[in-house]
Amino acid sequence: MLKVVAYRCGAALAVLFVCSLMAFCILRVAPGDAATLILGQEATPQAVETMRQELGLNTPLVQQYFGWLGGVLTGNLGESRLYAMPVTGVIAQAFPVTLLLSLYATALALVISLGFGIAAGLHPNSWVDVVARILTQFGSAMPAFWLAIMLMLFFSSYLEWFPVSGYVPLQEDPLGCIASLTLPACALAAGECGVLLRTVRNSVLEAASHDSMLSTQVKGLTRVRVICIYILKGALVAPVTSAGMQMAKLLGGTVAIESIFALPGLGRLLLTSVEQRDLMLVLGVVIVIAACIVLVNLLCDLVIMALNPGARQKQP
Amino acid sequence: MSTNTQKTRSRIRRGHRISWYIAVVFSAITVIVCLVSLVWTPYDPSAMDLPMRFALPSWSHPFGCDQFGRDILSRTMVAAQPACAVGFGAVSLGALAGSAIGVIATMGSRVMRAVLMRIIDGIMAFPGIMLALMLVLVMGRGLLSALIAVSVFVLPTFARISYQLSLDVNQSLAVRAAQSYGCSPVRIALCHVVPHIASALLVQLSAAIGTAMLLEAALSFLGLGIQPPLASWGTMLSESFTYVILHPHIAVAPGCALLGSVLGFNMLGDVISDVLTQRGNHAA
Repeated sequence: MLKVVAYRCGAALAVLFVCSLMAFCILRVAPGDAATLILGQEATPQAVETMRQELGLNTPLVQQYFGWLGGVLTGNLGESRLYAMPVTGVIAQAFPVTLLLSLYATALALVISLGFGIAAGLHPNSWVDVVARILTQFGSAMPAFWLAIMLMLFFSSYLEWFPVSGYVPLQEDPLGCIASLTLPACALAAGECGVLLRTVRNSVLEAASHDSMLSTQVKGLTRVRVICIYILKGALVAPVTSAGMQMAKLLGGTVAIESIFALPGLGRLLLTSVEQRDLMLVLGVVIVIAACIVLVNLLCDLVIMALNPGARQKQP
Repeated sequence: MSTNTQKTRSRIRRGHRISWYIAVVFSAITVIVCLVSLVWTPYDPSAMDLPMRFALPSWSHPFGCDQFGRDILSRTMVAAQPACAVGFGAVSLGALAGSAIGVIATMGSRVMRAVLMRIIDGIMAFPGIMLALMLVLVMGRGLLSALIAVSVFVLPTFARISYQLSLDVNQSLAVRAAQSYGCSPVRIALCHVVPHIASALLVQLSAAIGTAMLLEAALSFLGLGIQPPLASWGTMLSESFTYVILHPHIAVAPGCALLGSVLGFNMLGDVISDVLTQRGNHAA
C-alpha cells in the first residue's frame, strides 16, 4: 500500500515537473522571442535588447528555467509587469473568487446529478432515465458562455432577480456575494452535470444490478435500507471523487464566464495577462492552476484507493 | 418473456432510434450547411445595410439583422465553415498524432513508456481553454492557431485510449504469433494493432469533433480565435453580447447553431458505439 502511494505521489510530482517545463517552453522557446512578444513587432532593436537584459533572456535557457523553478518552489513567481507587483500577490487576490465560483458550480452540479442520477440508475428506462439522458446530452453540448448570456438576459435583465454583473466580496456581504455568483455558477454547472449525471447513473445502475443485491432481498431488508446502505455507499465514491477532479479543472475553465459576468477571478486574470502579454503572470497563473489540478487528482486517487482495495494495484 | 420486459425493450429501441435520428440529422445539417455556404448564401454575409440595423426576424431576414444590418442567417451559415474546419481538421490532426504516440509508446522500453505517458498526463493537467490561450499567445490570433491549439487539446485523449488498448492487443496471441514469425514492429503496429483499436478510436473521434467545435467557439468568443469581420459562432456571440440586453434576438441563431452541431456530433459518437457493439454481438 505504502509503495503504491509513494509511486502515485512520485508520478504526480513528475507530471507537475512536465507541466512547468511545458508551460515554460511554450512561452519562452516557441517561435518569436519573449522580448519581441512583449513589445510587439514594431519595437526598436535597442528597446528589445534592454527588455532582454531585464528579463534575463541572455542567460542560457536551462539556467533561466531552473532559476524560475527555484523561485516557484520558494513561493516567488516573479514580478508582474502589468500590475507592477509580485505575481503571487496578484494571484492571491483573484484565487478566492474562482475557488468560490468553482465550489458553488460543483455543488449545484452534484445536487442535480445525484438527484437525477440515482433516480435514473434505480429505474432504468423509466421517464426519469429519459429526462436524465436528455439532461446529459444537453449539458455536455451546451456552450457555457451562450447559456450564461441567456441566463443573464432572463434572470437579470427581464426578471431582475440577480445583479447583471460584478462581484461582491464574501466578507462584505455574504448574501450579495452568493447572488452575484449564482448565474455564473449555473452556467458552469450545466457542463459539469453532463459529465457527472452519466457517471452517477451508470455506477448506481451497476451496483443495483449486482448479484449481491439478491442476498439483501433474501435477508428481507427494506428497500430504503438497501438503497441507502448497500447501493449508494459503494456507488457514489467514483462520482463524488470525479466531481472533485472536475472542480479542479474548473479553476482554469472559467475564463469566458468570468469575463461575461465581470468577476475578478483567475480566468479573467489569465485572459488579461494573455492580451497584455504579461508573460510572468501567464506562467504564474498556469502553474498555480496546474498544481491545483494535479494535487486534487492525487487526493482523489488516494481516497479511491483507501476505500476500494481493487484500485490499489500499481499501474504500469 | 413477459409483456412487461417486451414493452421495456421496445421503449429502449424507440428511445435509441430517436437519438440516432437526432444525431445523424443534426450532424448532417451542419456539414451540408457548411458546404452550401461555400457556394450560396441568401445575402452577402459581410454586406452592411445600416437602415436594417437590429431588424427583427421577418420573411426576408428569417433570423433578423445584426448591429451592422448584416443578415444573421447568412452569417450563421458561413460560420459553419470555421467550425467544421476546426472540428474536422484539428480532430484528425490530434487523433492521428495522439494514436501514433499511444501505439509507439507501447512498443518502446519501460522508461520511454513512462516518459511519454507523463508528458501526456502533463498536457491533460491543463484545462482546454488555458492550453489554447497559451498557444494563441505564442502563435498569434487566427484560424490556424485556433486549429493547432484545439488539436493539441484533443491529442492526449487519443494517446491515452490507444495506449491502453494497444497494451491489451500486444498481449494477444495474434501479435505474439506475428512476433515469432519475425515481423517488424512497424508491420505489427500497422497490420495487427491499428485495425484492432480503430473502432474504439472512431467512437472517440465523433465526440471529439463536438468538443473541438465548443473550444473553437469559446476561443473566438474571447476574441482570440477567428477574427472579425469573418463570421464564426463564437465571434457572432461576442459581438452580440454588447447589444444583447436591448436586442436579444441577435444572440439566438448562432447559439442554437453551435448547440445543435455539438449535440449532433456528441450523439453521433454514441450511435457509432451502439452500432459497433451490436455488430460485435452478432458476430459473437
